[in-house]
Amino acid sequence: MEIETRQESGWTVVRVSGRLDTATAAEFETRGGELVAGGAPRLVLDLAGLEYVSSAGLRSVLATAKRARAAGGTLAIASLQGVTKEVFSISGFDSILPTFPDVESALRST
Amino acid sequence: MPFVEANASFVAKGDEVPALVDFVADQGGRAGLPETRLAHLRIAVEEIALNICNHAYGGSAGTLEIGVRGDAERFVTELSDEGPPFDPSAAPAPDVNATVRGRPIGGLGVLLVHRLMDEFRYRRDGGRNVVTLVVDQRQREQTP
Repeated sequence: MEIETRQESGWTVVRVSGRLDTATAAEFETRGGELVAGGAPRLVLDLAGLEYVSSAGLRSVLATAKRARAAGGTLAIASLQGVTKEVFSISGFDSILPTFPDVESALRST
Repeated sequence: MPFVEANASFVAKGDEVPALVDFVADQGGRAGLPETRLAHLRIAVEEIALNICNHAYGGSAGTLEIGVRGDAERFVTELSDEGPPFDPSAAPAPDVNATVRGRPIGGLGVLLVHRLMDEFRYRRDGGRNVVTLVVDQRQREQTP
């Protein structure tokens, strides 16, 4: 898994690529926690390059979303595709988290 | 179409699960499964293996045996342990309509296995729990 972040329009865009699974979930959660604690509770996860996510990965996303919310912010999901999209749909995560077709529409949503 | 058959034994510890998932996916790749099905298989094997590592041996050491066999049309993975009888395929499904705040962490793994695999079976066999996961392209094609 690789995580790249950039600032745009008051949001932190977090591009996650590779696999978000039991091998990488802890690293993702640590990074997400740092971003929220560092004063960036408005996160957009750009998942265009994510190969797949397992339930361990989903748990780390949910934990980060709860943290962002507790800090008065939010966590949005953008660019679901392939098996990642399938898993978000099966688990219902695409309806419990704000989900957008791409990063641009997430940024416009405010 | 290559037919693949292989077995491996792992220590039933969470740290071992990534290597175990790689083992199954390598074999599946060798058999010729397409990328999407390999991703489905990686997820399902991870969910079942973590279940076994977390629950089968109650904190003491144990082993997790893996067997794979099949080809690009039908690929069968068996995971087994010597823990007390436990059927993960019969575990209750989580409420996927719960909100972020009300949602319990966890409980989704078994749901993913049911939906991503074409067959998900359990049997008790000579003191072992055996979980069978099947990727079957013919069944998948019949499902809209």
